Amino acid sequence: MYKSFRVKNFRCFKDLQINDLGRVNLIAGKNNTGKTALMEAMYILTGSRDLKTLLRRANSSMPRFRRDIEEESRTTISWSTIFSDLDSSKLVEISASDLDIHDRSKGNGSTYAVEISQLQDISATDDKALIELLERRFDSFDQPPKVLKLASNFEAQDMYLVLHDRGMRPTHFRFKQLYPANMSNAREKAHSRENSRRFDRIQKSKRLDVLIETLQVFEPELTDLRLGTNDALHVIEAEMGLPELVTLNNLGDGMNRMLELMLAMYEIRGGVMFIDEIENGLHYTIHKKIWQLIDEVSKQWDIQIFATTHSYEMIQAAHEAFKDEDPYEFRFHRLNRRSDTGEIEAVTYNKAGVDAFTSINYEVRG
Amino acid sequence: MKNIYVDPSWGHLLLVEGSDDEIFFKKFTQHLKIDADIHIVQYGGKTKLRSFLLTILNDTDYPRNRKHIGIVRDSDRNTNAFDSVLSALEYANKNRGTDHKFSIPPAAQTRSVESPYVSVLTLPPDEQGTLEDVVMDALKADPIMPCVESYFDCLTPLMTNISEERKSKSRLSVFVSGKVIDMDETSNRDSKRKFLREAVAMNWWKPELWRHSKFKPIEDFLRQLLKP
Repeated sequence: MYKSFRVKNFRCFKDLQINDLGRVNLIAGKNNTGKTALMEAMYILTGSRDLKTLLRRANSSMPRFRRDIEEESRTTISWSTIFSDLDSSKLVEISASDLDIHDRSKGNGSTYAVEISQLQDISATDDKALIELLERRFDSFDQPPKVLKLASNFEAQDMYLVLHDRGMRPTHFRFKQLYPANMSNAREKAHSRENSRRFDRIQKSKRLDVLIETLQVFEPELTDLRLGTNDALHVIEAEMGLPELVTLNNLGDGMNRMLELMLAMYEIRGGVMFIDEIENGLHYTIHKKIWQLIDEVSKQWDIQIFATTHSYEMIQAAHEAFKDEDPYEFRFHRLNRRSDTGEIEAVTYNKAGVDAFTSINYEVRG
Repeated sequence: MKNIYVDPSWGHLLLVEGSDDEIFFKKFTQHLKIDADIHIVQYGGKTKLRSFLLTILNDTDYPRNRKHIGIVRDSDRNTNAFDSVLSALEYANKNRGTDHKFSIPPAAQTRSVESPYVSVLTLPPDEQGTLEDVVMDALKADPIMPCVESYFDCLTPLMTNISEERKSKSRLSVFVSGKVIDMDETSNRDSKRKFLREAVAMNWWKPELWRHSKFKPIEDFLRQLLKP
């Protein structure tokens, strides 16, 4: 689990450091202070090579380095937004120190780091995989290709991403994940087939109780879940004490989002979960209960949580849910632009800090 | 409850206990013509001071934007009101999530050495009581004051558990209530006035009252807040 984190030259960050991460972390700040970018940087550091995240291709079907991305033309792909000030000559550095969240004596104190850079002179490379790819695939170009290098201190081999006239291709498809990780975006729903697969796995492990308990926060009448079929497609159905089972898609967005979250978290046991705009679709009256469920799952499945919010109620509810726990493993991080340089800084609020502003109703979202 | 927010662009902050204090100090700074330079904020009473200070300190821009923080609190019956403010400042320094700290003033009414400066005013200075006591002392020469005192002289033997803090507010409240029956256009507008915040807004509160010697330490404190 991450104990401290630093990111340099990535998106809106020049140099941002957070020294005190908790098991459950909530990030707030005004628009354009990098809440999502911070989670993206952390996500990349888990070893994920998810192009949707790296290139911010929301709602695209862009895969995770499983095959060539020929359908994307060079003109529609840009990686300049990876670099601060859109300056692709900069070196992006993302690093974190590691510590076991449950047993701090187990933390090995290692520092993990990822670097991202655009090769300024392709001909100077001595990486065999890149040379071979360039010679084999891209021997004739209308324009010289651009090459993005992703290097880490936990993988033996650097990865290169080649952007050329007809699309994009990486030097290799296999990579090492430091931690299993998942990113949940309120605007981007997981594919129902993916949800069904995940549901099937959790059902086989006899852990449907977690899903049922979660959904009962929204619908107390719900007593059971099962995987059914509808027009040959697998769908998740709920027993609500009605004459027929109810397809979950017909219930509220908040319920479906929480179900997706729980399914995604089960997949990454021992890993890191990133949740963008966690309050989305959730009424304030259930915020505290949602945090309690997330807390329980985070402990049971050994998952470090990072979430963003614009909701003051969500921050208050998190503190309410965690304040009596010993140790207090919740941290609130506020991102703020410096008034003089405009650079983004982070403040981490411990228990006393969160208690202070919630007890006097001080506005800290901004 | 309305959320509190202190605009980070204000360099000179005056932190006061409650709404009565806020209006008293607003009127006083208006009289001194320094109201445009000092942002007066309520911290919600002495029990909330440490939370308020910690939250102010957890602003990444604190050392860049703030120049001087003045903290005012009633002395009450506590002979160590200044120490109590110091302990709130130290609590904030201990629990902060930022690199910067509050600089600690060496004594009441003396600003700290390092910028952003911090200074503390306990009221009345160097004795027990409240802001209301300071105001009542300044109003001592008013013709209705003997009536107020004799009313409390009559009440006191009948009470078993007198709170000195409440008595201060109550004396002022009786004084202001007396003033509203003295018909003038202010009392016609509202006959239920009885608080400090209303006293300083009433017609009988003449500008020369601000020059009373009892208010001199407050004036000095406010002027010190703006010293470079």
